[in-house]
Amino acid sequence: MSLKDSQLKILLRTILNSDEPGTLAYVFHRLTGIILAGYLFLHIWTISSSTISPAAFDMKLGAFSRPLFLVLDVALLAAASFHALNGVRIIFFDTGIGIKRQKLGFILAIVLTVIIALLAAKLLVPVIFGEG
Amino acid sequence: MNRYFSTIPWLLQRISGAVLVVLLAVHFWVGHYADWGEPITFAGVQMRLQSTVFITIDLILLMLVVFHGLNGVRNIILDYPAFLPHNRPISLILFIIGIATVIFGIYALYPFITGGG
Amino acid sequence: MGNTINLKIFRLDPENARHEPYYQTYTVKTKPGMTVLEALFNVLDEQDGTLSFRYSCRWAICGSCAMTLNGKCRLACKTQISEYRGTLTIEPLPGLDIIKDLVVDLEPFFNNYRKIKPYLVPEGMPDKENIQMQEDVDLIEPHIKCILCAVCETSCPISWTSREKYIGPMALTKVYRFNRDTRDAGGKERLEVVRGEDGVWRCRTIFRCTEYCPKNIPITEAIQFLKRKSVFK
Repeated sequence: MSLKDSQLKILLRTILNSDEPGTLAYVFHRLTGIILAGYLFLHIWTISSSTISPAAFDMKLGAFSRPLFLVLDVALLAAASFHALNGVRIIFFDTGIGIKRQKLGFILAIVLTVIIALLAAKLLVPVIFGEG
Repeated sequence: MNRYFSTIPWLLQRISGAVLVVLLAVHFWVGHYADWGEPITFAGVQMRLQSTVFITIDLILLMLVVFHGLNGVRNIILDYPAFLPHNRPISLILFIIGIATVIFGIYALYPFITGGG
Repeated sequence: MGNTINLKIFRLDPENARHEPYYQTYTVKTKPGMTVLEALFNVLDEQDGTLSFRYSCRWAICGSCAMTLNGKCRLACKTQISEYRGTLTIEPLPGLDIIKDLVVDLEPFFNNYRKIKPYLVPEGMPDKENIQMQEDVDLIEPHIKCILCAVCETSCPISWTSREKYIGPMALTKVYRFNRDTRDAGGKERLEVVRGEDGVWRCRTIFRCTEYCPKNIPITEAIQFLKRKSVFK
């Protein structure tokens, strides 16, 4: 093992060892941010089918109301919720509020995200199974 | 560009983030979840976009979300040392992508406003 | 009592031609109240005289013995060996060049420190001594305890990636400490140093510095204060 590799290993071990909320919030915020940025382009591209014809738009959007995509909608909502709630947490810190309670802020963000996702999932059940 | 410029993207990222939390909540509810599972149709969206309020909201949303997203991507890229010396070209490329995306987004929304066809 | 602990220690000998690091395990008999630094002394004195590590005061005052203990940057002299069971992995601080074994090159870290004028800049020649009241000390109270141990810097993911491009939590804590000092008049110059692109804006509020600081300094709070000062400058 070369010196560079082992130094990298120490770094990796240090970040993998992070059980404190601050690091987790940072990692989750980045991951959800990348997912949402990717979705943004997908979203605009989907809508752009309107420039072909209204019928093309209806067909494309109709495909996205299949159950699989509705389940993905819940995941998207969860990602957006966490990103938004943690973003609010960060803005609070930037204004100087609640910096000492950053751990509580992270736990709140996670709990509220789970609640929102569960509520959405509850809304979804009759949509998928109700008519069938 | 002087080295103190970074205050501005940082501040705009916060402001756009705060506005987006509110606007996206409205957008998600009205556009997707209020009658969830119903296919979204051209006619339905067109009806909503008849009101100037919704056109304005959608346009502001488009611009803010593109800025917030791409500046976020820029922040992530520049946190890696290999990309740091190339700050300027990276920022320029992302800026061009952003402008193009906003123009393309307006182009995609245009049929709804004029009535399709 | 027969309690023992295995210390798995990172070794690197610069005089070795192959210059490859390896891990060596030593078994140390523990006793109540023993610190990690004492265990290292035990290895040095009784088992292997070639082991290198920095230390000085043994009292968490000098900030020399920071190292990575089981993947967390901590002061060896302030960490009880009884916190660990079985094997304790001891590595040098991450993100810095390794000189020998657990000794790292702190020069880039102190380079950032020098950039911010880490001393009181008087407003002119005072005609009498500067009086410090309790309220004045309270302003800078936890931050004045900083011992330059580099734990915050080496815990911060942003500092790992680019020490020349991020001035780092330690220097920023010091800026806070000097700027809020009532005897100091160099605040503007220091703010000019830290409000650039390699200054406060690179802090992503990850809170690792605050979490690991052996002196419990609210470092993130200080950096956030400097961000607000930079915006409303």
